[in-house]
Amino acid sequence: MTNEVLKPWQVSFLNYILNIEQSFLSAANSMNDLSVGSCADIYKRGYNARLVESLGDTYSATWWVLGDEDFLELASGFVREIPSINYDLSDYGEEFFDFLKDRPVIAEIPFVYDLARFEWNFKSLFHSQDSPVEENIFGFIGANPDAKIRLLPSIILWQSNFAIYKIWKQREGDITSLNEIDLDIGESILCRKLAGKVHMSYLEESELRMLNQFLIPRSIEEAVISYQNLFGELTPESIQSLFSRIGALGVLGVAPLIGAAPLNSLK
Amino acid sequence: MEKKPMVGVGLRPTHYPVLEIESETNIEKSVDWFEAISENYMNTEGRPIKMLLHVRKAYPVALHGVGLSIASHDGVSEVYLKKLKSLIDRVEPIIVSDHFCWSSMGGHYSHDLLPFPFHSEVLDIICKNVETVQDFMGRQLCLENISYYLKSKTDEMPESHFINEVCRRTGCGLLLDLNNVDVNAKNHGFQAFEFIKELNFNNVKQIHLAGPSQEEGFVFDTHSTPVPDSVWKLYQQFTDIKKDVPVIIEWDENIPSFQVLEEEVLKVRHIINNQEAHT
Repeated sequence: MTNEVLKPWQVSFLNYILNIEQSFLSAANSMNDLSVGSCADIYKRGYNARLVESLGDTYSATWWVLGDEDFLELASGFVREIPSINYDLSDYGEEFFDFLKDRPVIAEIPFVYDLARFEWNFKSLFHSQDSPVEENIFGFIGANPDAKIRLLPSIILWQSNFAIYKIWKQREGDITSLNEIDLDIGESILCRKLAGKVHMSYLEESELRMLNQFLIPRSIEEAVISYQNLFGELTPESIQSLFSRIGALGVLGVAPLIGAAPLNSLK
Repeated sequence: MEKKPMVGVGLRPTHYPVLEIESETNIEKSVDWFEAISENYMNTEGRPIKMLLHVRKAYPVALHGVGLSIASHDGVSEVYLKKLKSLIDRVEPIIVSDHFCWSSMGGHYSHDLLPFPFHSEVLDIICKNVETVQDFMGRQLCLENISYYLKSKTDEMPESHFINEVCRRTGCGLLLDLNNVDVNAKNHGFQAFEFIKELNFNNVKQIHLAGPSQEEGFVFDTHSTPVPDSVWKLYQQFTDIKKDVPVIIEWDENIPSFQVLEEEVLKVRHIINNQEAHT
């Protein structure tokens, strides 16, 4: 099979769309009375528009907070820097929150990095499989004290120094509703895919800390030791109380888990 | 008497609530079938796939892709094919289609339907890619003629001949988008139905009807407006010759209420019924 026609066409076409070089213009004929450049620019504009639209879909609350002008400028800048490398358009933009971190506008709105990060993780969770419900895990553990348990798949433990979830929930309202939120109140949240929907529930800090111990398979004893090494001694009563609350959440399961790959790691 | 063709619409998230209610109330079905964009369901366990499977219980469904990139010099992505096959196994569509185009190369994705030269070298590459896909899926692939806003200087055959040859060599079907023919005819200055007549009608397995928008100096294939008279005329001319091809009304931007789509479906049925009355 020769490589004389299609490969040069595709390389130069893509390079034109990605603003790398313009040799493509000499390989194409235009339509109507338009120049070749005008015709080729239809594709260039289309590429930018699709990726910006996809970013807007994923980062709708970030857009809401930044406003049209700043968001669209930042999104277009991101598209110029980061080409799409996935067939699934909705998977574009994983690096967007890191991109935001380095932009001057973010200095004025410090929570935007966390908000964008939350949105990417929400999107991933939304498209993941339902989290199974594990009831009475501690009954099982009682009979098998050395069994390793871990956080079930499709569960994310979210923590921020800002009221990100409260901000995110307002994203379809008026921007002035931001004034009603105490932005600097931190939050610990359990995000879980259940029955086709993403559910959020607030956690106490100690609950979040203990659940974090089960991001890898551990016995109860190992988890308690790890927790105490990190955060200090727990009394037997507080351990019991903590595991009683965690057990009621139904988010721990016996490892190894069968089925979907775990989605517990925050981006 | 020839069987009446199925008439349906593209499945879009905007209409999920209506379709949920429709299936609950069991009202008379206004459309015969749906076409879903494959990529919207290949990578999700969220509401979209649940809705597609819900719709599939009551209707025939076609899977219509935009990311296969059948004309890629690189060949077709194995990862993509596996995802598509898995979706096909879940949905059991009546038609699986994509486009006569390329959209990715060297690991970069344009997310657009890009044209290629109508050249014998490209013909060989596409036929090889189509055979790979059909072998992997174990079924026929249909490919849609695209609208394009420029052409290669190395073209050495008409588009219609190119399409006929791919279908002849590989056994793949043609998804004839009459709106795209109309858009190309207006932008590149040819007679739309003359082009259609050059196609082998036996290859046509499905028809798309849609509406473009008028931009400065060209017609843009946006699927954002009602089907224009010029496309209705092409459909009438086509069905004068071949009647039983399933039809989908496509609407992708400025998506109207489901009722507006139903009205477009009724127009298709009106044309078919009129023809029946005259024969």
